[in-house]
This record gives sequence, structure tokens and C-alpha cells, in this order.
Amino acid sequence: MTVVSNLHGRTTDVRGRYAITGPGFEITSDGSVRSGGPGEEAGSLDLLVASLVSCALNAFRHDFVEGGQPERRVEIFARIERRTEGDYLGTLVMECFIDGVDHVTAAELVAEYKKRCRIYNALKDSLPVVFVPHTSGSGPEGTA
Amino acid sequence: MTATGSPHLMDARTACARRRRSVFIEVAPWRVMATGPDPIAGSVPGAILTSVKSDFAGRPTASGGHLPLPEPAAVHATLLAHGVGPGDDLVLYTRRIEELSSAARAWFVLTWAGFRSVRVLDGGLPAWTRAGGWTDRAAQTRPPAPTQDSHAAPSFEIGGGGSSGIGIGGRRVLGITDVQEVADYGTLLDSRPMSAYDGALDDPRTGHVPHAVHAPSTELVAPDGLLRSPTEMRKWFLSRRAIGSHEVGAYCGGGVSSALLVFAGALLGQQVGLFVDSWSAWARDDSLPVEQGAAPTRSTVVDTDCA
Repeated sequence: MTVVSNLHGRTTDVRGRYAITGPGFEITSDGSVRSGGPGEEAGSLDLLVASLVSCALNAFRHDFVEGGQPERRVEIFARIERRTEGDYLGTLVMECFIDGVDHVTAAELVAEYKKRCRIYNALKDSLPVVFVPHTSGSGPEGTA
Repeated sequence: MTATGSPHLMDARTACARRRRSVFIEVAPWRVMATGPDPIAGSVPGAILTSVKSDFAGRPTASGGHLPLPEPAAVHATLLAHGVGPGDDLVLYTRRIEELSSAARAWFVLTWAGFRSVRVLDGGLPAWTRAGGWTDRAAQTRPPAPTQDSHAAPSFEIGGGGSSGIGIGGRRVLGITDVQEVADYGTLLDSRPMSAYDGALDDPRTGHVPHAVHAPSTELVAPDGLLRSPTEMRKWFLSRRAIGSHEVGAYCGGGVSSALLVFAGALLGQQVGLFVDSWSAWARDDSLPVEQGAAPTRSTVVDTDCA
């Protein structure tokens, strides 16, 4: 059996602005000012990063939460770092603030995400991802 | 505050315990920061009394900001007059919690000038008294400011000359060209109040450096006068795109409130360069661009397109 995920994209009346629709939602995306777009809405790179952030939020929210326990509050700040002269996409750094877990659990959550997220696994060779988990009352601990 | 143990910050309890081993320096702001009478009488016993304007700023020039960096030799001479050298453990504090940025400015200048152990007392004098520290009512008078060519002071090479560069203590000082580059490619933080950042429509030389992000450093201080927790500060910086390996810089009116951004960045391990001349110099130069409005704008030179 095959499963399918669909999106529809089209240009709009605004130069460099695109409407991307799926079943029940619409995302507006802009080309950068440099390429003649408005550069206001999410760009293509933003959307790529957003997919990884969305998946990580979903995983960290409930992975390893036992039945009856409240789900976690999670906040992720993601950035892509790239040298201006670099002919590559860059390195994605995800600083993850996960309430109610210690460093051990945070590391387990990241490991589980890396194991399970298909998007991460599809991209990781060309877009290295560095997770920086922050747990309640502690400093950052970077993991590659 | 969980940044205890930081080489830059000291909590009041630790400061009290280390009173005899540290040199306390009280820093007065360059202008009145809070109204009403001084709530605490006296100073930390033996504290050296200083002020931003007299001791941690040089003489303004026609083209620079109103609180330029002093000559490093003058900074050394000022403290040498009190028997204090670059190897002593210095603890900086202000009398009021609203004045914390003045201590941060002194920290910036001292570390830039090569003093090796400089910490800011978290929460200032109010935190000191809350922790049981006593005060000495016999206020010490500040010595006269040393002359710029004092023979007593050694000479220092800061950042390879010029008005910008990296000082001995790792502090980065931004010049006009650096500021434009940071605003275009990195993140430039504007620490002034929103009204100043926004600008006035009837005055084209008001507003902010194009693409600067509004980041008032007063938000880094909790209501009890202590710096916010490292986690809170990190989120605050992250939400302003000011954490990462890109260049981050800060400015305000004269390099005082923005020094607190540099200081907080150091606590978080983030290098933040300081545009000491700040808006007081930028606004005066008609050749420099100004942007108005409350919303930050993106630089068009940054290429984030995929292809």
C-alpha cells in the first residue's frame, strides 16, 4: 500500500510571492528581495527548517511521556549557519528548551528523534543538524 | 541567578564572603537613572568611588560619541592611584538596580584595558545589603582624574590600533564600517527605548541603524534587580537572532546601556561587539543611513535563497 502527502503551489499576483496549499491550510512563501521577491513571508529555507522544527516539537512534546502524565512544553530556536562564501546549505543549530526533563532524558529524546524522523534522516548528510538541549535549571549541552 | 561561578558575575552572598580579598568599585552613572532619594546610606566598606563619565569614558571629540572610550593608560592610572593593578580581583557595583548598565560599562572598559579579573555584583548595593553586607557611611572621595599622559601608567596596545578592534580582554569595539557590516550580515542590537528606536517623523536623523533589532537591555534585569536567569537571557537573545557564530553587535546612545548587552552576551558565551560611539555619533553624520519605524527590516544583502 502507498500513502501520499499532497501540496499545491502557485505563483500569485505579487511578484515573487507564492501560495502553497494543502488540504485545509495555506502557506504564503516569498522569494528573497535579492531575487526580486518581497522577502517578507517565509522563504524556501525557512520552510525547510520549519519542517524539522515542527517534527522535533511534536516528538519532544510527547515521546517517553507515560500515560496520564502531562505533555511537555517545548520551545525551539533554530538557525542555519553558513559562511557567506560557502557553496553549501549550512549547519542547522536547534536550541531546544524542554520543560521537565533532565539531561539524560533530553539526550534520549534527541536520539529518538534522530532515529525516527524521516525528514531529518533524509537531510542530515547535506544539512548537518546540531541539537543544543536546554533543560529546566541548567545550561546548554550541545550534541552533534 | 545560576551564573554563579561565571568569571564575569558575582552574587552578593559570595561577594560578602570574599570582601577582604576583592577590590570593590562603586560606579556612578553618567546621568540620573532613577528618581527619589538614595535608598541605601553609605557604600561597601573601602570601595573605590568612580563614575562612568570621569573614569570609564574619554573626552568627546567632534565626530565621535559623547562617551568615547578613555585612554587605557588613564584607566590604569586611575586604579593605580588606589593601589589597584590589572591582576587584582575587582568587583563592580552600582548603588541602584536601575544603574546596572553603568557597572557593565565599567566592566567593558576594564576588561578591554587588560584588567584580568573583573566581576559585576549581581543586583548591586541593594543585593549586597540584602545578603547581610554592611555599608560604610564615611564615603571615600574620588581621586582627581589622571592626566592622559600620566607617566605612572604603562602604555597599552588595544586591538591593533584605530577606533575598532578586539582589546586585550577579548572585548570587540566596533567602528562605523563594522556596524554597517554587522547590521547587513549579522545582528545589530539597539538597546535604546522604543521611542528612540522608532524615531520621529519630523526629524529624519532619528530612528535606528538600518536592520538593527530593538533590544532594550533594561529587560535583562528582573524586578528584584538581579539579572534574569541564563535560560531567560538566552531565550531573549535567541529571539533577537543574537546567538550564533555570526557577528553580533550592540549600540545605544553612548555605549552604556548597550554595554549590558555585551556583558550578558559574555555570560552566555556570545561575543557581542560594542559600538561605543553609538547613536550620538551615528545621528550626527548625515552620510550614514537612518531607518525609522518599530518593525525591524531584513538586510537584502544576505542570501538565504536556495538557488
